[in-house]
Amino acid sequence: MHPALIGSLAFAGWTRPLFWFLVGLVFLGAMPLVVASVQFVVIGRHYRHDHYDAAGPFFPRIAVLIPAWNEGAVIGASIDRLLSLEYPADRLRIYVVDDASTDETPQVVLGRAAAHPGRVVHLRRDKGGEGKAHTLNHGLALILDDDWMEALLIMDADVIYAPDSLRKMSRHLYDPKVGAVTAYIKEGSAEGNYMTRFIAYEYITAQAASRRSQNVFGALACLAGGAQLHSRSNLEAIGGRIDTSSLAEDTFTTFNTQLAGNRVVFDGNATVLAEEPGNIGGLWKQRLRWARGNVHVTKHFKHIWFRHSRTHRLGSVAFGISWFCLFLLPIFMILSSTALVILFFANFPASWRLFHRLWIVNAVSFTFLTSFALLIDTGTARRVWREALFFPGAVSLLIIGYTCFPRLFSHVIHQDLHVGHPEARVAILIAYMWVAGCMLVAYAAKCVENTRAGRVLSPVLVYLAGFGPLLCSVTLASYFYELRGAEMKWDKTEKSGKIAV
Amino acid sequence: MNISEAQESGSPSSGLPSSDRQSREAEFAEDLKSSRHFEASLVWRESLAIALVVALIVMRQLWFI
Repeated sequence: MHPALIGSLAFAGWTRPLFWFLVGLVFLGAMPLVVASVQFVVIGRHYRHDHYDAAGPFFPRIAVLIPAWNEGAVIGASIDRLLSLEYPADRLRIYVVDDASTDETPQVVLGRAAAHPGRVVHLRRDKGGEGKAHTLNHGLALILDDDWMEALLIMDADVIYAPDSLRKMSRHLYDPKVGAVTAYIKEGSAEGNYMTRFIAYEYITAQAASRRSQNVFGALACLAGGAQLHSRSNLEAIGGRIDTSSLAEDTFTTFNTQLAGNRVVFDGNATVLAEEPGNIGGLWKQRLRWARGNVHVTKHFKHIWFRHSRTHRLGSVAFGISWFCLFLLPIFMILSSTALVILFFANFPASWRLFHRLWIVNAVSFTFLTSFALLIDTGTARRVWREALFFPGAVSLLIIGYTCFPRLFSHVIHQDLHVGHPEARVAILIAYMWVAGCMLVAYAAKCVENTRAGRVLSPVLVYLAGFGPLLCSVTLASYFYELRGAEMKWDKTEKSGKIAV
Repeated sequence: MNISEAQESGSPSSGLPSSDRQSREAEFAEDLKSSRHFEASLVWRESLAIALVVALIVMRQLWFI
């Protein structure tokens, strides 16, 4: 790179505010990790907010509501597991809403209903494919019509509950202030691959860790779609139906529960296993649905953000910052990268110092978040520690290594970069662009997955660019889908029944 | 008995046969003990993670000396 292209603008006088603005943009890139670290720090205080003091041995009559569309491969095992839960048998009924399945789902469910009369009920929708919320509402209307149900468990057809999980959830409903309870959903594939291991690690951070911190802050972002236990009074308070206007019906239900003044509790000791996508294509479909749902939630509940309320904590500053840091993460990364590149050409020494500081902050946050997450679920950690390490990607790990221990790399990059080799400067510019560019490489992993070379190349690209950036690229894609008003299509994640019990 | 009646009654697991109730209450106490034990353990797990971060910072500083 020609030395004339490397700037040394003084940023004096009227350009000074511009410099500080760019500095702010650079550090936006570290904000999500810093905010996540703050969230994790409060987990140590969770024992004071875990709601166990107000829990009691409580066994309400529970109706289990399972929406099912072509779930023949998994629904039988799920029903069998539910019937063998450590919960009073006469207080558990299973309602499967068959969403006009075209596979063997009706036969499997009808077989179980015949074997367990009164305990398993098959409900059939003649017109299907409208989405999960419509399917749930079909069963919900019928269940609410009968006063037998005291609590409702909404779950997915493929999830497998640990034998003690339901009673661990129901104990919180002893407190009448609690409207809904959710459990720790764990990735449970018997024969996992790199993708399911990344998801398994992600679930430790997003569920076992983040939801505990949300318990501490008193506002929960989402009741897992596969494990939502509602009291009857809560369902009635939210109108007796699930919102159908969005792809994030579970988040809508969670927000509506809290807006109605009812508490939502996450119990990390109640565990549920779920089958997750084994390739990028499946992950992309699932996460695009979730990310678009988050756009809907952000817009629909625009009146609550950062506004104090006496009935709920969704408007708290802490909850708002954590929500928007995730929601805007791709934009933060792009802005951070752009500011670094501008500074590279305007004032290279300043950009270089900022780049170091940005990555040192990232290194500290990454070390804390990763080690703590792995310590929270040591069983899963033994299986997924490599994916935890490569979550930000191999290239970002190299940058972290360089910024923390530059002497290790002294033979590659000159210490005095003003007079260093032009190649080193090109490498530095690429590193600046990598803050956002990693999303592009992660997206490339999706694009090549179905090609002949994709079987090998795609995982390599994910390990290089990182699973985190892959999720960011999905979020970025969701903005575009929403901007162009794309059709809200319920792309169901395909299940094969590969959960290990 | 519905939820609110059960909650208002003296025994939270009332509505169950008495033999079943006793075993369920014992089960609940055992669950609660193990859940609380795990939540309390998060304190040392977090301390260990913080210690790792401190070690990283110290290593970085020493590396420069």
